[in-house]
Amino acid sequence: MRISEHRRRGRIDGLHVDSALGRLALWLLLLAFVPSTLARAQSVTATIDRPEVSVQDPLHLTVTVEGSRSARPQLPDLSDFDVRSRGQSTQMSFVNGQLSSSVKYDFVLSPKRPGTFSIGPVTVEIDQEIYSSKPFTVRIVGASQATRDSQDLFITAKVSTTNPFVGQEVIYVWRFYRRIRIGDARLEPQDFSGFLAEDLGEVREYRSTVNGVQYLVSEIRKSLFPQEAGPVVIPASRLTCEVLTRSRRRGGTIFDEFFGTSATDTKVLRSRQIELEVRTLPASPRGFSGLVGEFEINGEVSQAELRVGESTTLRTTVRGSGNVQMIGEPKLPELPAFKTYDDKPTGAIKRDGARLTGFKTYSRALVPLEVGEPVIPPVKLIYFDPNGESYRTAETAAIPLRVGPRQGVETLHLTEAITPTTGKVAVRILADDLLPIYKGLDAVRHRRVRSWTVAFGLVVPALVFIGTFLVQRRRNRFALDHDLRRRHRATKRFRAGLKQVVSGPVDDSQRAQLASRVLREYIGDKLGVEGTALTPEEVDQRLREKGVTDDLVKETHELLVRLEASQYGATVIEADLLSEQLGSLVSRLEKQVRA
Amino acid sequence: MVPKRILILAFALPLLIVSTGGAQPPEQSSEVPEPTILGPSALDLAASDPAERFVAANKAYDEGQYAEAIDAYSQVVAAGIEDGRLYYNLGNAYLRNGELGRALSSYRRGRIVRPRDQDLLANQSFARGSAQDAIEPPGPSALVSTLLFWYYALSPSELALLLLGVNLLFWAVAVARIFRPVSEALRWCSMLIFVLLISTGGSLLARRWLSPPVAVVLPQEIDAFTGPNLDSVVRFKLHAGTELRVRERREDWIRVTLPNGQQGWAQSQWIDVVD
Repeated sequence: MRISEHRRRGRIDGLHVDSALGRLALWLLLLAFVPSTLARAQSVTATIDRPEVSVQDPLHLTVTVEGSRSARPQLPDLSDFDVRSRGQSTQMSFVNGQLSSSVKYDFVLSPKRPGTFSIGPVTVEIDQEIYSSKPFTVRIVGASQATRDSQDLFITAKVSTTNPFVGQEVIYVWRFYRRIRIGDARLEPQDFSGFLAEDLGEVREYRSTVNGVQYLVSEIRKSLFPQEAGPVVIPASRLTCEVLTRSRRRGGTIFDEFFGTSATDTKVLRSRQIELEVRTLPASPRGFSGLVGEFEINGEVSQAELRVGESTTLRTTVRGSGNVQMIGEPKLPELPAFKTYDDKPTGAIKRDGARLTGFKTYSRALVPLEVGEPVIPPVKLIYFDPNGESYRTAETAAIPLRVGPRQGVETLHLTEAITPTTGKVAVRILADDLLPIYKGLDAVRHRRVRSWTVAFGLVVPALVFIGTFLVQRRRNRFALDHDLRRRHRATKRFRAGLKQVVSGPVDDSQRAQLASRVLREYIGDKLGVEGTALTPEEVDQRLREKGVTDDLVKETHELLVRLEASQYGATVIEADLLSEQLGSLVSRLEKQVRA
Repeated sequence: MVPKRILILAFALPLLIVSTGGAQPPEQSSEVPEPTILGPSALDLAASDPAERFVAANKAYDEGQYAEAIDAYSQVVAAGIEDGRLYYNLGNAYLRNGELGRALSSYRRGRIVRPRDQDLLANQSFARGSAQDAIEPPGPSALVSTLLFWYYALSPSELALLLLGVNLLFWAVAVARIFRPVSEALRWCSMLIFVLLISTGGSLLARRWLSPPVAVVLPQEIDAFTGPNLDSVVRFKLHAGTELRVRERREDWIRVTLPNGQQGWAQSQWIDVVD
């Protein structure tokens, strides 16, 4: 029984609820106990909306996970599809007193190619257990298998030839046919690797009838020029768009029933990939211009009759269709009877026609040097005609000129015309190309400079400075402070004296005298006074002023008294014991006096 | 003695440079430009020595096997070799192979390492002539490059070496001032060197922070969207070889700026970013 039925009746599991407030309270109570009353039946199911679709239509895969709202389904291998998530929804139902929840995950699968595909089970892990759905099979039929007149939208891609020569113009025409409303159309960037690509105008839109069905067509045209011989592939183009649909939903409102419900459906359209076999050009004759297509060359002069010293302009125009970007200046014959001046070439490439066409005009001012009837010889242009599969030569007609003497001036002498002070022209760049690669092996000897190397180089001089600074400061302080020098040397002098105490005198009284002097000098050095002149009582007072503990002061006092007594034979202290006592005492004094 | 403030600054400078990695030459966006063909080469590229790979790459280039040459040059770059002439050769190979975008990004990387190399400049200009978009590549104005000539004329490695030299000189003068604290000449000398130290160190830091990376468009044509997702509106289209300022980088998207200030988001897979 569904929860809606219970609601209508106002009773749930034997409870009778009369008022709306009571029902609301019951709902809240129910929701509060949802986790504890959820049915524990776990499962995962995977369904598709239809078992057979066209390669242009998406499949809708719905994965339903029962018994867990947190477990995420694991999809099988779907490498033959583009997978896109459309979100998820949670549903709860109350059946036979058991509340159960399920989560639906919606995916859109866009087929990449036709064929029959087995789709493996969808798995989900719930409470450390793996649940699997049943595998299923889908059949993807090619676009061509569906009758085109039944299609609302499709795309095509064609080329003018699949067996071009290197440099030959290949017209690529891409069309998008549609007869329904679409939105958000996105054409993925097309890869024309291996070609020099030129757009032929903007996107054209027109209406066309295919098999009696009228379509709105968007057309893109490109000129492609293969750069290398061999097989080349133009990959399939892919267009994604949203199609507006009207669907009826059961159980909707009266307005839904009347108007239907608007929705969008994603369509992925693909054209076929196009394979070309690019042919190499036959062995080229000497003087081949590199042009492939249909070209012509014309030559004309601005005036055919002129006088010495006047100029006429020779215009040579190359025009045609094909790889017109490659048009270069044709080689002019030698013109020894003229002084020539180059002008900037002009030209244009027309990209809005059915093919790529263009022209380039090279102008040159000719100044005759002598009287006569010189003839400008024909200018030749050798290009490759892909239709005739042969090299052709176009040439201008020979242009006769008539040169009269300079008006009012005697005939120009040749020697005057070629003097270095006249007619200097700028060096003209005939062609441009990449500079050659560098081959020296020193190009592979420089490794990247590491940060730590720089850090090392930056820090080491600073450390040297710090060290030098500290040493120099210490030296200065020692040089200026006599007491400081004594304090720092006290221990060193004591150690030297102690060695003499142990190894020096054989007489006990002399040893005691020496030990007493060494100890007093140490104390004197540390306290900055004359140590040998101190009495034990003065030593006590000075040490206490320095914060030495009473025990250590007392021990020092007793040792000094014993040493004085030993000098006069009252007591005897062995050398080793004396050395040990002195060493121990001084090490403790060192710590406390320093502190 | 050297003033304490100057000493503190001189100590702080190397720490700042090292902590920001400013002394290191710029890293590439993807370490190594991806070669067009990664499959087994017809050449013997098993050689581990970068010099052998370099020679093999040159040979492949001369024989017209540009994809193999790209593969081999890229391996040399991946081995840690940092030389503008290597990027120059790589750019040539990319351009011959019809990959204008990668060619321009290689030339740009090369010019970072060898900013005064005229061959690199010539081929970069040649390649830019093939770019379809009429967009001026990002770069300093003539006035700025003249005023900050040392910044634009030196590579990061050269700047780092200059910094080390000035740093050494600075501390040497500082040590000398310990022994000759009253020398007026040394005082002025140390001040002058300190200014040089700050200038070179600041230049290295500026390389890191003030020069935004440049995006080079790789495919023939890409869309630049108003936002970083495919559902947003296509704002403008860009074509292979176009060089733009990078304003922001997110996971799979890069925000680029046109010279007129217009901005758009492009998918990073179609862009090679040169830092």
